This record gives sequence, C-alpha cells and structure tokens, in this order.
Amino acid sequence: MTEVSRRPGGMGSDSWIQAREYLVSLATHCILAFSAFIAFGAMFWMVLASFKSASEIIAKPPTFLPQAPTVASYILILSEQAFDRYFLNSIVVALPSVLLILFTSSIAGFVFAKFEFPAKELIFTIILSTLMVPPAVTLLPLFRLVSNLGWADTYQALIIPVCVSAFGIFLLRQFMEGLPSELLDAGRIDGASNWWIYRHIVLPLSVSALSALAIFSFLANWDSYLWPLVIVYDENMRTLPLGLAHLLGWSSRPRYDLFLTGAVITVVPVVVFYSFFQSRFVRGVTLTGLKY
Amino acid sequence: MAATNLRERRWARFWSRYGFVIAVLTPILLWFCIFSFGPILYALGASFTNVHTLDPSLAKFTGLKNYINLLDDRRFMMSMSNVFKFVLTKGVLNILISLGLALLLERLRRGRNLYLFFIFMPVVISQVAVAMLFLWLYDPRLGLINYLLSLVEIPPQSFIRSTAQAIYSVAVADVWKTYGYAAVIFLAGLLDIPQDYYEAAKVDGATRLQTLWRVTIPLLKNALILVLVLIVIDGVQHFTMVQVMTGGGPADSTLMPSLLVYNYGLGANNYRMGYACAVSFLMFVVILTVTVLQLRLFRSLYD
Repeated sequence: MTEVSRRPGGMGSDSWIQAREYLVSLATHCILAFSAFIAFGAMFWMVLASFKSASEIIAKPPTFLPQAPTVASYILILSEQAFDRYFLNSIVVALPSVLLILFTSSIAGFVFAKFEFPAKELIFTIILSTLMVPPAVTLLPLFRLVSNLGWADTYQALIIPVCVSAFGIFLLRQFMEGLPSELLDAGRIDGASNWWIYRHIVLPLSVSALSALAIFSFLANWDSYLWPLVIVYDENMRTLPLGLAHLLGWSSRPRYDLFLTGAVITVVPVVVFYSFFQSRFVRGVTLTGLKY
Repeated sequence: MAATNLRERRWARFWSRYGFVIAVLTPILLWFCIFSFGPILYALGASFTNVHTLDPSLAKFTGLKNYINLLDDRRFMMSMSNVFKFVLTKGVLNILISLGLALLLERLRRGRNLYLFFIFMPVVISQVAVAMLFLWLYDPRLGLINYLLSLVEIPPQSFIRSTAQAIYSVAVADVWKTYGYAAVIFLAGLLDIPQDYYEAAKVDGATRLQTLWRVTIPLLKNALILVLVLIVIDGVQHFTMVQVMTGGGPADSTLMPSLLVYNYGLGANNYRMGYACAVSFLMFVVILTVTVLQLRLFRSLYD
C-alpha cells in the first residue's frame, strides 16, 4: 500500500527530472554543435570559397556554395606565385627537421633518463632553461651567425638551427624514466651495446611519446614564419607561410580569392593528416602539456 | 709497465662507463652552444652596446643607455600596453570558452570525440592561413562578419582598420585558433577528477555552482596553471598573426614587442641591433616575472 501511495508523487518528480535532464543534454549538444560549427564552418567555407571566382568571393550577399565552380584561382596561384615550389620547400624543410628532432631528443632523453654522470642535473637544467627565452632574443644573433656562415637562402639555414629541441629532450627524458630499467639491464647482461639497446628496446617502447613529439614539431615547423622571414630573400626558397604572406603585397587591392586559395593549399595536407590521426593529436596535447 | 697498464685499465673503465654519454652529449651540447646559449649571451652583450645589425665593427659599449632610452620610447611603451591588452583578452576569452566547452564535453557519454575533432581542428592550421581567413572575415566592406552584423541591424565595424578595435580583433582571431588546445587540456584534467568528490559534494547538498567553484576548479589547478602560463608565454611573444594582419598598425595600435625587435633590428633605416636586443631582453624579463608570479599566486591560493 505504502509503495503504491508513494508512487504517483515519485513518478511525477521522476519524469520532471527526466525532462530536465533531457533539456540539459539538448542544450549541451546545441552549444557544442555551435562551437564545432564555428571551428569547422569557417574553414569549410574557406575551402568552398577557393572554388569561387574572384568576383563571387566579394559578392553581396555572400554565397555559400560556389555558383559556378572554378579552379581559376588555383591556376593563377600556381602559375603566378609558384605555390608548388613553396609547398615543396616546406616539405623539404619540415621532414628532415622533424626526423632530426626525433633522433636528438630520443637519444639525449635516453642518456638523461638512464645514465649517471657528473653534473647531469646541472646540464639538464641549463638546457631546459633555454625554453624560457623568447625566440625574439636569439633572432638577431642567429641572423648574424647564419648569414656569416653564408647560409642565407639555403635549406640548412631553415633546418640546422631548429634540429635540436630542449622541449623534446625534456619530454623524452620524462617518458623514458618510466621505462623499467630491468629491460635495459637484461640487454646489457647479454652483452648488447648501448646503441643496440637504444635502437631495439628504448625506441620501440617510446613510440607514443615520439609520435606526440613528431606531430607537434611538424606543426610548429609547417607554421614557422618569423625565422624564414628573416633568413629567406630568394623567391624560390620561400616556404608556404612566407609565400602566403607575400600575396598581401602582390596587388594594391586585397585579392581574397588568392589569399584563401593559398591558405587552403597550406592547410589541407595538415588537416587531412589530422583527420587520420586525430586521437594521436589529442592524446599528444595531454602527453606534452600536462607533464610540463 | 705496470703504471701504463693501470692507466690503460682506468681509461678503459672510464670509457665503458661514460663513452656513450660523451658521444651523445658532445654534439648536442655543441649545438646548444652555437645555436642557443651563444646567441642568448651575444644578445645580452649586444644590448649594452650600439652595435649595428649588418656592420658590427663600429660597436661601442654604451652601458645601460639602451634600457634607459627604452623607458622614454613611445613605441616601446605602446607595444607593452598593446601586449597587455592582447594577453588579457586572449586569456579571458580562451579560458572561459575552453573551460566551458570542456565542462560540457565531460558530461557527454557519446559523441565526445566527434565534437573534439572539430573543436581541435583550428589548432593544427598555420597561423598565416588563419590570418588570411580573418583578413577576409574582418574586411569592413566585403567581409562576412559585417554582413552578418548588417542582418541584425548593427552598423559595420572597421575591426583591424581601426585603432580602437584592431588589437582585440587580432586577439579574437588568435583565440579562434587556440581554444581547442586549452579545451583538450581542461578535459583531460576534468576526466582525472574522481567521481567520489562529486558524490560527496552532492551528499553535502552543494549546488552545481558551488560544486564547480569549490570542487572542480581547485582540482583542476594543474591544468589551469599550465594553460595560464602557456597563454602568457605565447601571448607576450606573439608575432605571426599581428605581423600578417596589421603589421603593427594602424598607428602602432597593434605593435607588439617582438614586432619591435624585428623592426628595430632588421627594418630598413634601423638595423639597431643593440637597441632591439634590449627590447627582447625586457620581453624576457616580463615573461619570467609574470610566470613566476602566476605560479606563486596559484600556490598561495590553493595550498
């Protein structure tokens, strides 16, 4: 009896709670969908705009889908502005830089994590402290150094000054300290060299840290603007960000058709890459960020 | 004979113990000396001279003159106040948006990764490309934003063409690119909080807002510190988007310290390397001070 008499009231508040939960979850999804739209929509619109004619881009009211799809701006940007060359330059700079960063960070991280030697913490702290120094401090001395080496307008000028990363060394040391020392000792007892242990035990176990470092050093390199701006004069040596920024001065009026097409060429490879490895990108943030 | 033998044995032992360390660290430390420590010390030394960027032969030691002159330099003071506005705008918007989104994402049972996929996407885009996109969106006559404003009867704004709005407009573009990063850090921090804490708060009859303020935020301390420190470091150093979108203008209203280093050090008719290096070191001091203050503040607030 008591059960039954309690029920109606209970039912009422239950469904009230349910309705409220439902509304809250609906609002949650609406807000999230809106923010996803803001993040993605602008980019999607940019891609669509790159297939519009120069006059359609600035038409009022703005069109969403291209009314007469055309690749004219791509043809123009590739013929007048050598974006194919810039793209190639970006790749030729980014790939060796990232590979060198992965190699130097992992082998130095291994040494700092698993070896004992005099002044170890001091050396490590000094390396780490360079992270606090803004790039603007080293900009002018590096400009002088690299110019004096005769490296202006060369690939090595864009690769060598960025091929070691204090942050990468720090990240890999943190990660490798978590690897069980027994594994390495087992290798040593079998008479394996340190290089063999690095190559066959330490590296394969560090893939998650290495892939996070690879992703973020690649993004940083692909995005790099200030250093190339300073050290590259030759049109043929421009990387994508430089080529893109130079579009601004190309004509007296802003050519939004070219700006957006150039931006799409710069962005699409990274976004495609991101689409395939999204979870690694996101996990990379927490791995590289939270362990600071 | 015995002595050489002993020395050889010692050497062999030393080498087997430290050989690998030496072989690895020598080239790496050499790189740091050439491309990091060296340039930093050179910049510090140069900041006390009047060295010319392209022709260092006439350099003279001038003591603290560069630093004293900077305090009187209207452009430098302008860049400091601009960067303050920039970091403040960026910080407030970024944290409100990313923390809000992370709190919403945490409640989801399904679809979290799908939303994250879109929200994180601007993080991977090149800054110059973002600058291009926003140049178009902000265009006073042709841009989408003024078109959308006209639909709700708001008069057209001039955004990056106006001295009053330019710095905030660039900051908003920067927030669009970076809030996904902070959201991921906050979300990871939220997911680390054990459910027991929330249940305990519920048992004690805490409202949602109280739970957020008394339970969630304090437990999110590490993520908050990280995001705040990153925002300040990134913000004070900011160069790319401002340089592309406004070049520091109009009327220096978006001039940033790193733009000033670039202009003073490498701008035509300038090439004042010593002076530019002094700017860069003051930037460094600001970053260091603010970061240390932030860490102190957080420690005293929550420990």
